[in-house]
Amino acid sequence: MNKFLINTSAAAIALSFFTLLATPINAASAPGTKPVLKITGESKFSGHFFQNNNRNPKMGIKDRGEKSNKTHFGVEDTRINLQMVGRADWFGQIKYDWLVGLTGDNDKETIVENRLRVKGHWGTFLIGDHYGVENFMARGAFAVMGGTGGFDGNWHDVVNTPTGVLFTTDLVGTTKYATKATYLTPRVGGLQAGFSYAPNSEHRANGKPHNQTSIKKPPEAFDVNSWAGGINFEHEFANTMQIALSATGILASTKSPQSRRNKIADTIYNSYETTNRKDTASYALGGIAEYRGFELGAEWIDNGRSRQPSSSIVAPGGTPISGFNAGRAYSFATGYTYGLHKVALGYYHSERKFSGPKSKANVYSVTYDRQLAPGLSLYGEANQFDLKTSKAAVNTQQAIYDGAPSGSKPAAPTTNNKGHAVVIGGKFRF
Amino acid sequence: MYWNKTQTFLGCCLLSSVIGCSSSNLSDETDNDTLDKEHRRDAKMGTLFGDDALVWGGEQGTQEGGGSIGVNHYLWRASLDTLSFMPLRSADPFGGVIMSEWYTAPESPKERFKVDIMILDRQLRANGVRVSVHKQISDQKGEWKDKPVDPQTNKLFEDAILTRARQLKINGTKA
Repeated sequence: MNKFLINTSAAAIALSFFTLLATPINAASAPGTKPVLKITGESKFSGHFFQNNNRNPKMGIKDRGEKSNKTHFGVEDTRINLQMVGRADWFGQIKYDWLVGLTGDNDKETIVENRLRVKGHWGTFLIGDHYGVENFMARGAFAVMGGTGGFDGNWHDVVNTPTGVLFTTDLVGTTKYATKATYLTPRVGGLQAGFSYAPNSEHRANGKPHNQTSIKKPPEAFDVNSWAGGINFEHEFANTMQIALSATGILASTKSPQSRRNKIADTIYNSYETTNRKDTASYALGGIAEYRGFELGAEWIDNGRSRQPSSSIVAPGGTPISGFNAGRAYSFATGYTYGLHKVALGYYHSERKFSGPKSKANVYSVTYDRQLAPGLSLYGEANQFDLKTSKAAVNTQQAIYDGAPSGSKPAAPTTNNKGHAVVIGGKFRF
Repeated sequence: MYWNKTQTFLGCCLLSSVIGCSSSNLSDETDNDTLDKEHRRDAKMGTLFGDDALVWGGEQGTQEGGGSIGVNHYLWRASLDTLSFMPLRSADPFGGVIMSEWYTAPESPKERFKVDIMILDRQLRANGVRVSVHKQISDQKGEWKDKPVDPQTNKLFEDAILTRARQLKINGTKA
């Protein structure tokens, strides 16, 4: 099977290169130009004012400590990009650029993006650490929201997320900045297609190859031979109405967080960590319409059973626990831009099974943006959330947590949470 | 199961390759196509210094903002396009000034218009273009008399130019 996958992967990449090679060379093309170096950047300065009704989850809080304070200041999404852009006489003239994205977010590595992009008449090819097509080809309600993203925004960092709740617009299996290769077709008649291939969803930069056990702490299920595909359509009508529709998806072979060789004791933790996982198969459908300042967006996400245990997990003498899925979500948003002002309303709903009953998320968001100058704006957003899990999910997570060795504890169980988060701040881009 | 998945993606690759054989220009279109979710949302707010303020190296005339003319070429080209229905009196690509002749629409022969456009910046900015519309009405003796123009008319022209400039930038059209 592996040989087949490797052969198939190689064939697909070779196909892209074949397309590239098959493009006739334009002898009359303009001479290449010396590259230029561009510097761009951005940052957000946010004040979060929030309330978690569940301030004392059962076993403490993951991530950044207990999130019960009502005020939090953050400097978020800070990036400095160094981009070298040039053109060359190759395959009928190409435009190339190398981008290194440095982050100011102290919970990330220094360089978050490092990729080479080559564009020609045959399309665009990217290689390196960059987002895949499942991210940048997607269109949906998230793009209509302002502020830090409304229901998809940075306030997630100040919320105690109950166990098992799906709370994102990213597909399960998204490879984020994992090292990958991507090909995008030219946009023809408003239509564009593309795919990304990441050999390992956890591999970045010059990290050593690993295909058996997650390198994250705590370990997570991860994918090998991850293929993301996308197709979208953009069109502007004569009356200036614009629409964008997209379909994106990911297929990958999923590995358990830990190899069976790491099964050191018969605990529910070890069962959960080493049980075979369902392969990643997730997709999203979305769209946006824009007319005279009005915007309307919607998105549907189905993660199927991606990365979930393929069979029951069980502790010695215990009852087998089953009923896992990766969740489904939908979101709607509408916005209106008038001059330098923008207002948007959004709603996000998700359902997911974690050891039986469904966990649910309901989020209502309103955002307001006021542009002060090109690249400089103030924003405010208010989010009301209601995140529900089940007793079974909390108990299962508790058992997994208790069985984990110290130093490799997974997320602690968290019960239902309801509350609001208001974010006020400013953002700039240069 | 995996065979079917792989076949599906191979099909997508084939589709991509077939579409990829079609021609396209080397515009900045795909630069926007590879913007991730967050940056796509924020891209609409523009940038503090315009498109090419922090650019080093390259050759004269290769930068996107100005090229071989003294002002932003998207605004310059958009201004010419927007005024294409009127005869031009002068157009200075280095100073960024476009002046039209008096123009009389066939359906209203007793009034005529003249438009002056000044492009103020090498960057594509919302305030990078200023339009002055002049209006005259013919009296009973057939003499042309100046009439005030609604400031909104100037704004409409500026908006039309900026919209056209945006389209040109998306399509990657050079002056």
